[in-house]
This record gives sequence, structure tokens and C-alpha cells, in this order.
Amino acid sequence: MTRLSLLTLAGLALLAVGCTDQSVPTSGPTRPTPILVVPTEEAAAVATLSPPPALDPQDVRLSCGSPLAFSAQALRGPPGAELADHPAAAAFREQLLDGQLPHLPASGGWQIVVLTHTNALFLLPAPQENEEFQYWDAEFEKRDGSWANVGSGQCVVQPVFEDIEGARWELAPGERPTADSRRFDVVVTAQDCSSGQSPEGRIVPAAAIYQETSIIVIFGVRPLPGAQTCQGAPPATVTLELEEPLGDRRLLDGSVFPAEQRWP
Amino acid sequence: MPQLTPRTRRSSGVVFAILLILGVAQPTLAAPSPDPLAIGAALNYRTTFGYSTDLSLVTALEADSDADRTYSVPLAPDELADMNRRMAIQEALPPLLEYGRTHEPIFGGMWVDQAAGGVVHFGFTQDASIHRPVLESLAAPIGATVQVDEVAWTESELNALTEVISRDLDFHGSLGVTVYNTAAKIARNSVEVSIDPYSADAARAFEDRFGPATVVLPGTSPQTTACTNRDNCPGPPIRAGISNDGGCTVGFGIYMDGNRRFLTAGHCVYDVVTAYGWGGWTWFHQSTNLGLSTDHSWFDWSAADAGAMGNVPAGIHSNDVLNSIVPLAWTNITSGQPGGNQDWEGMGVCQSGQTSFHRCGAILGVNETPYYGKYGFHIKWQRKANYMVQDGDSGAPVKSKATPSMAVGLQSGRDSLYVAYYSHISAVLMANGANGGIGASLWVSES
Repeated sequence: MTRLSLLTLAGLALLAVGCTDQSVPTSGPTRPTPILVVPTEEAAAVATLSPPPALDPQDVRLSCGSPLAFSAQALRGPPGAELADHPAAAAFREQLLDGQLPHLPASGGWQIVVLTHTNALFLLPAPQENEEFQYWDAEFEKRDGSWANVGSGQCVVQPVFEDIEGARWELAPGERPTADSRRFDVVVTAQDCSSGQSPEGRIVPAAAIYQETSIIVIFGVRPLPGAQTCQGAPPATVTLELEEPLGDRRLLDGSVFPAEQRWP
Repeated sequence: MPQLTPRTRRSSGVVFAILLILGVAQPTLAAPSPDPLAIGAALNYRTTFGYSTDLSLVTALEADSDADRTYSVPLAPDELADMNRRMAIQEALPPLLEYGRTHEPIFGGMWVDQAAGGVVHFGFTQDASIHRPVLESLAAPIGATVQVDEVAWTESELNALTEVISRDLDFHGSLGVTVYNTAAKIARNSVEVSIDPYSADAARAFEDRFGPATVVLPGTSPQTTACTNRDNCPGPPIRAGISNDGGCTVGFGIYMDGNRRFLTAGHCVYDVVTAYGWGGWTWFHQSTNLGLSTDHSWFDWSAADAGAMGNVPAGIHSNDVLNSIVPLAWTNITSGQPGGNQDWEGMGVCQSGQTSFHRCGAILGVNETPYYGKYGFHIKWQRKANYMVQDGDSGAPVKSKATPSMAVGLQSGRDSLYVAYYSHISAVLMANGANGGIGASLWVSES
């Protein structure tokens, strides 16, 4: 499999930000593993993937489930953006107060993470005890001179890929990496919609961030073309190679924020 | 699974107190010191099943790697034998329950008092003395001890009252309270209503309105115990927007052929039926049984990607769509959008799925015919919308953004991460089913 130069893999900076020793949770947003196993053809041999390209956290871009991407740095902006003297903020205030966005908390404290001539994205941190998502988001677009809400909801911050979608991974059963380990088998579960088909053959070792205390690995999959249904799909096992031995660092899955610890 | 009796506040308090003691008095325990949480779990279990809560015994068993852990906590040999006996009795109880239910007009239900050693209780509103010897004779061969009690209310009455109280939202609102849970309690032969904020006046108002079977308790949000995430939100009731174990999302609650059921995507049901047959797969959310596949409309040129599972009892069924876990919030669906071009490009809609959660966007097209290549199926009249959808969201409820109580569709598939397809709710409700030509007539409310 070829190296992934195509990734404008975003998200990782944030992952790095969120992955200090103190901040990595042992649990987080989880997509349940489908219990239903529809009989499939026999599994092929485990593919060995080339090492994921090392990525600088600065190059990471993130998304809330729309094409609007933002940097990790943007998440450090001050709250209160909904009060800003800007037509997008004014439109947002009006819609919040008028009850036009009943699924969002009508409260202050929003940050703005994207602001262009035509787009604005506001985020509000979710309660800390929320296990599922990190922010509420509201996206606005300038149309015919006025700012319209075009998307909103509960935001699971994810790295942004070009032509690739993030996939969750775990160490394969029985894998126990040591300090010298550079190769291990992982089980990859895609999140794209694939009409119930395994991601086998579509898995891409998207990126790795090598840090002092951890290595964050992100897998992706190439989405299937055309219309696909969105039931859960069985995972696939691949062999991951790293550019450096693991040492005494932790292994983290960076397809979600904050990254989730996979080893030890 | 063992049948548990309701956990009392007192036992929780005892366990908590013991945990506190463990925390400060650990040096007095024999080494190695077991995990206090494991000790707490063992004490809880032992309280529930009426076993010794002597701390020295419990800690010794926890430290004994050879102790049997078949029932998740270590048990002494005599306790293990007793628990095996209880489980064997439990396996043999259905015919006794069936006997009670054949007398449904007077049957108050069955429950097992595990704290008292597994005594099986039956309630009847009349003629208990007639049924006692019958049940004792049925229980003797399986070694069960039974007790037949005269009770005030039948199981059916309690279940019906539970639903009546749950649905009386205007009344809840008039008192300014939130009802966090309504539960038929067989052991106590009552319906317990948990309200917040609690007051004696509000409690009296409930009891006046719903009668003496009603017991009002201070309520708190069940979010930490009943709903930790969309994969663990068993309620009751079950709400649309949570996972089912077929890898899809539970859709709207419906009435179909007079039965209570839940929707999910047609292709989810189709996959299950193809692999296991109509009766070979029982749908669950955690341990909550959602019934069998009852119908689907997933075939080439169908106008709706709809499937149904059921039947489910009244206490589990609901018209609610989950919005968020923290705070626990949901929307009660009161209507379905009519068919016939009642929606338009640009109209706001929201999906509540197990993977992408609550996401809103706008309709991009109202007459789309995507071709799902894996199946070779075209699905007609689908709506295209620009909210995010991912694996596991199939079957998710789609509702109006402006009028959240109105169902507009059922999540089906997607073209890309940000371009979703859903089937319109009117097409879903009128879908012709594939199951023996019964024809599914799906509806989101009882009316």
C-alpha cells in the first residue's frame, strides 16, 4: 500500500493538545461494535500497511461534521463570540433567542472557530460529564446578503481527511507491544457508511504523531463510491508498522478527540 | 441473569458506609487488600441475594483466586450451591407465570424475593386461596417456595396506569414538575412516580388524580444510571435514537396491526432476515428485548427504507426521540409530516443517530432515487439532506428542525459524509411490507 501523501489530515494538533498524560481519558465517544455478524466470505490474510506518515500537530485540521475545518488553535479562542459585533453573530443571537434552534442550548459562552466572508462556525463546550460529544456547533453561511443557519448539532471533533474518513482501531486480541515493538496487529472499525461491508482493502494508515510520552496513530478508510446504507459493519485486521519503536510511550487512537488510549 | 429484587436505599447506604470504612481502615484488613470497589460490588450483590455481608468473609473470598466467580462475585461453596439452585428454579418458573397470566383479570403478577432466599410471590386480587394450592403443586417439583398474596391491583392495571401517568404531560406541566420515571412495581403492587421537584402538594395531586395505586417519590434525572450513552440507554422507556444490536439505530415508536413496535431501517431488518430468518434474530438494546423482525420494505424500487421490530410492552414503548444524554433530553413525537410535497429544499431537518448523534441540516432534494449498489436496489422518493451520517445511524429518526415534535423521516443511507438520504415518514408509514404480504401500516401514535 502506498504512503499517504494525500492527507491533509487535520485534527491531529488538537489530538496532541488533548493528549497530555493528564488529559487522555480511558473512555470516550464509542461506536458500538455491531453484534450482528452477517456471514461473509472467509477473511483474507492480514495485510501489512506501510508506516503512517509522521505529522506535525500544527498541520492538523479538525471538523464538526461539515466541510468547515478549523485548527486546534481556534479552540482556544475566548467565549462570548455570540455577542460579537458581526452580522453572523447577530443572526446567531437572534435565532437562539427566537427559539429557532431548539436543539441547541440557548446560553452564552460560544467560541467562533471559523469566520470567513461566507462562513462562520460557532462552538459551545458540552458539559464535561458528557461522554459522547465535546461541543455543540452552529454553522452559518452568507446567502443573498444574509447569514443563514445551515447546520448544527452535537459535535464529535474529528480529524479532517481529504478523500479519507477516520476509522477507530484497537490492538488485536493477544497483542501486547513491548518497548522494542514497531509492528503489531490492529483491528480497524470504519465509520463511513459501507452497506455493512468490512473496510478490508480500504484501510489507510493515515498519520502518526510521535511525542515524548505517546504515539498517536490515526487510521482512515477510503469511502465506497455511490449511495451506501449505514448499518454497522464488521471490522478488519491489519498489521501496523511504526517508524520508531514504541519505547515506554502509550499508544493512542487519534480518530477521535481526545485521543483514546489503546496501550498499555 | 438473576432476577433482582428492588435495591433499597438502606442497602446502598450500608454499602457506601462500609466503603468509607474500608477507605480509612484498610490497614486492619488482612493483606493483600482487595479492591474496595470489588468489595462494594460483592456487598451489594450479597445484600440483594440475602447472603452474609460479614466483612471478613467477603474480603477473604475476594482475595481467594480459587473462589468461584460464576456469578461475577466470589461465593463460598454453600452459597454457590444455593445460587445454582435458585437459577434452576428460575429456569423452571415460566409455566407458573403462565398460569398466573391465564387468570389475567385478577392476576397481580409474580416476583421473586431473593433477599428472603428466593421465595416466589404471586398476587391475585381475589380467590388467592383457590390459586395457592395449585401454584404450590406446580412449584413442588422444581423445589420452589411460593407465597400467594391477596393484592389490590392486577398487573394489567398497573401497566396501564403506568402509561396513563407517563403520557399525561399537561398535568405534569400544570404542577411544574418533571416526571423522571414511572414504574409498575409488582412487589409493592403500586405504580411509583418519581418527580422533581418533589413536594407533598404535588404528590397529593398525583395521588388524587391517578388513585391509590400511585406512590409518588422524589425523583432525580436518571441520566447516570439509565442512560450513559446511546449504546446504554435502556430506560424504560426505550427512546428512538439509541443503538440496537443489529448495528443500527432504533427509530420511532409505532403502532402496527394494533401492536407496539419500533422502526429501524428496512435494510437492517432485511440483513437480519436474510442471515437468520424472520424468527432467528431477536433485537435488543442492552438487555431490553425489542422483539423480532416483523416487516421491512427494503426491495428494488421501494418508496421507503423501513423496517419494524416488536412487539414490546407498554412500559418500554414510547414516542420519544433522544436528543442528548447530558442533560438527558428527548422530544415527544406527536405528529408525522403529511406526504404530498409538504417539504422543500432548504427545509431544516434533524437526525438523532447512535453514531453521529443529534445533527441538523437542510434538505437538498425531495425526490431522489439513489441506487444502493451492494443490494442492487433503487429506493424512490428519498430525501437528500446535508447533515453528517455515519455507520450505525441507519434507522435513526429524522424530525423537523422547526417543529421538533414532528417526525419527517427515517435515516437510510448517504452519498458522502455530509450528504444523507432518508425516507419520508409518510412513505414509511404506508410502506408495503415484505413479510408474507401482510402489508405494513406504520404509525407513530395510537390515534
